[in-house]
Amino acid sequence: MDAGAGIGDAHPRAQGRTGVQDINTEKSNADSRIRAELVSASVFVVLSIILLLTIPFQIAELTSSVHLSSRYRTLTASDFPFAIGVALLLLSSGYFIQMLRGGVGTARKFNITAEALRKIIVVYVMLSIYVVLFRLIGYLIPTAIFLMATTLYLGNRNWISIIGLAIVTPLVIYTVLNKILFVSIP
Amino acid sequence: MTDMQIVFDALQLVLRPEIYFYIALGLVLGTIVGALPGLTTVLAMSLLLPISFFMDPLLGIPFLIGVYKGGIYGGSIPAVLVGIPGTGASIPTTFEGPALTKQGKGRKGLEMSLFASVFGDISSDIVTFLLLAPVAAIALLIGPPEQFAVIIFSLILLSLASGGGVIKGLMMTAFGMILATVGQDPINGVPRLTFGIFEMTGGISLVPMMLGVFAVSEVLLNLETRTRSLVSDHVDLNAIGEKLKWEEFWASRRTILRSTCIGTILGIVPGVGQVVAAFLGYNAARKASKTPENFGKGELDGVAGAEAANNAVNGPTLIPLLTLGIPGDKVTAILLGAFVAQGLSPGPRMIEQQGSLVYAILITMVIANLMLLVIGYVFMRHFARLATISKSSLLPLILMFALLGTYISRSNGFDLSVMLVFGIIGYCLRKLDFDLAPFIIAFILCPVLEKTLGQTVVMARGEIVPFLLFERPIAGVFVVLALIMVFSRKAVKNSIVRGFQKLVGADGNA
Repeated sequence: MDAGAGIGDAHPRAQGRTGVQDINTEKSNADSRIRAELVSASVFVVLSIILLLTIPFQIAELTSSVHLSSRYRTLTASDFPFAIGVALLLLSSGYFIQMLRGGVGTARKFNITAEALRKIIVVYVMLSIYVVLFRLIGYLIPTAIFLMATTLYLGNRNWISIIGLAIVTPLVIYTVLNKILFVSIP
Repeated sequence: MTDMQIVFDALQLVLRPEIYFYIALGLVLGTIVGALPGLTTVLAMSLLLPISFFMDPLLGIPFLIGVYKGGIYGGSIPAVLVGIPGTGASIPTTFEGPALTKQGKGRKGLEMSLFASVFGDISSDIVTFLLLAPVAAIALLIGPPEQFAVIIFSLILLSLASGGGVIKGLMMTAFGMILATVGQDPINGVPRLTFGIFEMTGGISLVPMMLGVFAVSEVLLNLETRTRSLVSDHVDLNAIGEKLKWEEFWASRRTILRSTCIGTILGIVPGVGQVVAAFLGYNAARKASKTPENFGKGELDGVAGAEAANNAVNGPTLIPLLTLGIPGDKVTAILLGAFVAQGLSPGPRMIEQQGSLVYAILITMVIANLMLLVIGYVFMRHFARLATISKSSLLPLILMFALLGTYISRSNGFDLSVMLVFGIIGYCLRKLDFDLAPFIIAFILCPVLEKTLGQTVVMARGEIVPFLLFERPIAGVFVVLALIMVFSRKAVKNSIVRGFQKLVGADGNA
């Protein structure tokens, strides 16, 4: 752990939780935590199996690298990913078994309300559309649209700050990057 | 070139006035982000890293160092005023800060935090300056087997220290390594795991991945809360009280010195980081205090202990990075990215080949601390106001900067898709309490690890275990230690922690 740990969610006040927001009881919190841990362990198990199965098709071996000498074998392109894949399979299987046998899990904050999930999905879709428009049109107009739409969606109704954010900010950043730092953006 | 000549050349390099401008800019930006609860120093550095690519190394790297130092200090501002840590390293400060603010001594808490931070940081920078050349000289004696063993040891240590548990830490290490194998094999140049996607031939780029897992995921996590701003309490800046008196600062001198030593020692060890140092520093201050019953009720010594320790980590954490090319945490992983992008190769030869530049960077760290003292003191009240900025304005801006930072790193549209994918992956991993530090560091170190393993196999003629144990004992020791740590981790970890607590008098027997 270091200063990079996302800490805003460590404090109840920072999360906006006052004890009345969570809809699950303590026991169902623990159950959903364990379920989440089991699902994540399963995902890693499946991922490592897929990796091990696809390696022979995704990594071409160079015959010259396999045997420099008849007495010993050197490292090939597939050896390292294969070894890591096996390690991940063993670790995730071990974790899965640990959770099945009554581990408590460490995913402290897995519960999420429907409202929060909706917000996350909407903002993520907006970001995805922004990426597509950025690649098609460039920086200025998609950024203005994205900033205005997102800030309005998140509840900002102060039109001065919306215009400042959506129009002035991208222009300032574009000028600073292009004219002062000579960083090219479309 | 003699050491003195290198230092003299380094001093000449830092006479450029632009350096001071970029350090100040980095400090301000870092403090702003650090002062916003929920946003992290790592986020700030990830967002600003691509901009540093367009500066020369002596501007770009001090700029990022300014962001780093500003971020750590900035985290203490909301910790003192409203009890919400701006960064993980400021958690112990929240044990004393709000009580001080309630007593009308908020300004004293902020100033103690600033002065203790700067003192701890400058002292540890001087130690780094003195230790760098000897450690680099030792590092020059090591070859690929030792490098391989040290990297394995560091990765295991990081996994042990990771939040979320050891198995999850090791899973993250393995996951990071698998992603790093996408692209070309570092030994034979064979394309791997590209799934026919041309853009993946060069591998997954670090910057979009980092911006996805840190910036995008951070925004998604913050969307879960309902608060208008990142804090819900109003900060009354008129009630933060008087300035800190010299006698009050002097009274904490022993605490600051003790915490500086704690942070300096911990900084050299990969994986430990500011958070552990802050807690140990706070604990040591409490144990050594004549009035431990005052801790938790607004004790300036507690603030001094935590902040001096967490900032004293900053300098020594660069020692493994600069001498071995091994980052000890996410922040130094980003700095490693900056070095590599600038065409520098941190490692044993860097001091030999670019000694003046390395020492110039160390000197800029000391300069950054002195500038932080001025900037932090003068603009304290303004930084404090940041805690009330609304999320509806801030979060879209962060996403915009993430997109921009991703694009300008390589002007490659595919990287934007990578950022989006890793945004979701990072969000899910963080929700499930997987620590991202081992993931990112394993991703960065994996190519070097694989290359040195390949070289070791050739040197060992296929018999790697006897080779490591009998012909390269230093490497053998590190590998054995790593295995011991994995299989008897609890016993080893507890004895290391107990030993360290005894050393610093934090075990109640001082």
